[in-house]
Amino acid sequence: MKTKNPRQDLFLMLFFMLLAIALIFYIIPNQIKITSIMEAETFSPRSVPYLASGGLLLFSTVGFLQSLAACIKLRAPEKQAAKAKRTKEEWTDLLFPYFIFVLIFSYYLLFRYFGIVIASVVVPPVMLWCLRCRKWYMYAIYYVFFAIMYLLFTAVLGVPIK
Amino acid sequence: MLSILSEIINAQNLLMMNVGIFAGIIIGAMPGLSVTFAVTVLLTLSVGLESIPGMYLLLGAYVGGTYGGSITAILINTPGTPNAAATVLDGYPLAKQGRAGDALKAALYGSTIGGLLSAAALIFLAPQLAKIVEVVASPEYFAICLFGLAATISLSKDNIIKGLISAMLGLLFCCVGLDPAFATTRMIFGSRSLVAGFNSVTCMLGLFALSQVLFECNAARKAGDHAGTCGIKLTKSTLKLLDMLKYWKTILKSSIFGIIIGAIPGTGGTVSAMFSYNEARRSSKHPEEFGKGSLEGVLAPETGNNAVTGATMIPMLVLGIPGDAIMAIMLGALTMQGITPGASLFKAGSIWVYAIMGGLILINLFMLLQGSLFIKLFVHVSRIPENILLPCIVTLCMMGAFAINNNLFQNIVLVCFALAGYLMKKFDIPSIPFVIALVLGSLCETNLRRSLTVSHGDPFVFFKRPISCVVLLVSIALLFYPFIEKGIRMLREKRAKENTPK
Repeated sequence: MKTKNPRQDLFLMLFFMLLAIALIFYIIPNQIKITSIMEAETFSPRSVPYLASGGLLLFSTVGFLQSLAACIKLRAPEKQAAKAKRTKEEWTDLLFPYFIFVLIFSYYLLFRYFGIVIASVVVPPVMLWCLRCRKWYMYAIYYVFFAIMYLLFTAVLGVPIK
Repeated sequence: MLSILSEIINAQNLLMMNVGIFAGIIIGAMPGLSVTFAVTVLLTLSVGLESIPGMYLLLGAYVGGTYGGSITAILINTPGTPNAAATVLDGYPLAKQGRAGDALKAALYGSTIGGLLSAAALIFLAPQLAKIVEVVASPEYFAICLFGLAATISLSKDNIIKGLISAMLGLLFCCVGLDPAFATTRMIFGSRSLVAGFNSVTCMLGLFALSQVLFECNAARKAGDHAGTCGIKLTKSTLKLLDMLKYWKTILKSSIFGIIIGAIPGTGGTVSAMFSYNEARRSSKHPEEFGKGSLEGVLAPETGNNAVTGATMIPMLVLGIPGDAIMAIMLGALTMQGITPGASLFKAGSIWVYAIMGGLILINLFMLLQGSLFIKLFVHVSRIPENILLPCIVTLCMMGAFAINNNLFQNIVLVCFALAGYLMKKFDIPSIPFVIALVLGSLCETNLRRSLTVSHGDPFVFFKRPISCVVLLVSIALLFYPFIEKGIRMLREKRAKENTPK
């Protein structure tokens, strides 16, 4: 496994290992109830989830060992480079997608509690502003797009979207 | 025949074909947005349509998007989609020589001919394959499902382990909901909405479309209101369709490569384009012109990448096994319409599948028409600033997810999968094995269960039957191929070092 960041992969693989263990020993036994008849079958409802979780545990363990080996091999200057402090722009690049995700989530919440019209009127223009859109007609284009889509879904496709 | 034609030719179908092609070309021409994205976004609109116009919309986006990538590849040296990566090599030098119009026309003609030959291959090969598939039993079916999965995992060459992890996660997500045999609930965590399981279409909408907003937002923020610029002037083309006869060998070879590569699960347009380009250069009378502005260098990859469009549908329609993410999306769309792809679709009396295959020919012809008439418009539209596109994508995804079954639960699944898609890309986890496993999971499980029940629990049943044994061995070989290749390379390097005189 070639990796850009072995340390990151190490934690990722550890996460998958823990997830697989949780699945095998807690989630599957508790979330898939089987009767004695099902248990007697060669193939019970738990078979595929156990197979997939076993696979997840096996492959994440292999990945973990590979990342560990890559981490040990990492030379000192590379380690230092990895530890180098991020600039403000780098922090913005890192966090901006999560901020957009928060906006998308708030779009969902507004859609759920106030309806699609209010959600679509409020959130996407905020997103446009955050994307450094400063021309008024861009906002107008968005509203026209939304109006067309709303009409298409409700009037043409018959989706009861409110 | 007449009934098939009347099924294909009606106003709604023709409109959907053209809308799909138009949107596909525009999205394909925008750097950063893939053909998969084009098909996923249009999936939101196909939800409310009947199966045939819905499929035409998606097929139009697929064919149009595959061609659209060549526009920016030729004009701004940036492939609109990965499929057009090889087109850049000769398309841009041609444009710099003042032959942008010729390069664009060559791409259009190549794409159309490749697409038409691929559609013809689909029409002739799929029914024949369906006859063979009718005698296939569950062990073979299970082996073929695993082959489809292994083929997509093997695509992530340097990341086989992550590909395998992604496939395992896909299988786990597929298990959520009702067990297909005993109807007992699995991993629903007390949520009634999860009883029906995860809708693969919503998951793909999140993974491929909404997550794109999160990938692209930094680039859009930095670009601000500035539209894309193009230093190359769009010149008028002097190329005619008949001029293509000069290159018939290149076109035919690229089409055959595209058809063969497209029919193999896990490959796709990018591999076919590269393969066709290399072969055209190898067999060309003027190989020295390649890379400096050869028309053949544009024709070959564009014919090759569009020649996969019909062929990729062969395993999807005949076996119900998607070879790539786009076919997985189409399979999801078909399942939503209550259509189960498989050999039974080809039985006498069923005109649906023939209408879909015949429609593909019309779609390619409409692409030729749109490409010839609106090329200037496509060039301008492809320069729309990305920051206006992203909020539009969010709105479309939200409305589309709700339209799947008029339930807000799909929207929260969409939002979660958007974040998952972003994180998967950030951590280099390929999302295609996840999607293929999610779509193929229940087919895998049903056939595994059936095989084991019939064989009284004998796990070697798959190796006792010749077809399933061969398919399983090929699947295993596919997974281990990158490791074997690496071992051979290391061995060669070691030998080379030993043979070098000190």
